[in-house]
Amino acid sequence: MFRQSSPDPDIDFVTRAQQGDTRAFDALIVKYGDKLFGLIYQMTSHKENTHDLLQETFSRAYHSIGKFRGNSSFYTWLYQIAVNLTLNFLKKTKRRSALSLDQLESSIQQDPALIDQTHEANPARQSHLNELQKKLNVAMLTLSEAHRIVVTLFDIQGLSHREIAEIVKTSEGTVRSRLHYAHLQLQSALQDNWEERF
Amino acid sequence: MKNSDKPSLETIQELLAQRREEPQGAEYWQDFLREFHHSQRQKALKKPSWILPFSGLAQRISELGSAKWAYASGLAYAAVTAAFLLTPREVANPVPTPTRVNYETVQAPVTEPSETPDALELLTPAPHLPAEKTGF
Repeated sequence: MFRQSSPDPDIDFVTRAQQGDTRAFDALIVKYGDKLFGLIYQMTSHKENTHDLLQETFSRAYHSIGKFRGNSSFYTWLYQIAVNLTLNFLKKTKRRSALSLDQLESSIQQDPALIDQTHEANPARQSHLNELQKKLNVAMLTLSEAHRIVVTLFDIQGLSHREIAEIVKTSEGTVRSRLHYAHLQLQSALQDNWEERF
Repeated sequence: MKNSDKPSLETIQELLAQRREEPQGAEYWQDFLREFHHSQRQKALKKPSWILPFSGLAQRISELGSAKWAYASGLAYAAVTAAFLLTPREVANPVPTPTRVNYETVQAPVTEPSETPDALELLTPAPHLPAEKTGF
């Protein structure tokens, strides 16, 4: 998705934004907004919180863009801001115990945004997959934030191990290890349903 | 998908890949940008005026790159030197701490009468000498 060796595709917009061109920054918001929205929503499972965190992410980026030196790609830098803000938000939320699994479960299970409706060629199979998706939504919430962020970035957002390591500021080995552990947890969470359905 | 004890890793990944978000739509992003610009204007208005020169200075320092460390070291050295020179020294001959005066009356030591005769006794004529020899 992004390589440090190749020139940053956003360098033109970034340079203009650093010179005070707000339209250039708007273009960056529109370019990365959907991806970041998806990332934050997968982590928080709450649309309003996602919107607020996304506003805060771009606000921080806007005020710090003067300090951006291009040591990483703009995309990585932006993801780092979003991930840090989201993880901090989740820590605070957990401390307040405002979002319990029970409270989230019913809304998450029924959220059409998290359940793919496009595979309608085989209705029976799709129905089974939808059931599994509901279970998967809940299983995702049982993962720790550190594991959920890695699963979200790798399996849902399609980033490489190296890119994820750079964003979450850890080694590639740790990313692989977290991913492996998270997959095992998700497999065992879906195991009960699996035997009944397939 | 085959029948087994638990879903395979490929199945898990397939299920996860299906969770990719649908785009929010142009209308959402128009509203998002409007809100973003509004909040940035509010933040700019709330910023106190005295902070502006400092934010400009901070910006200029950050633009110096690696040279900023040399400038920072020079400034730190100048600050330490100035602090050293401007700090008042201790007086060379300090005033001694006052000692407590003893007001108690001290009893003079009582001395035993001396064995030697006092001066008046010496003036009296010796009993074994005649008076004319002693001059009395």
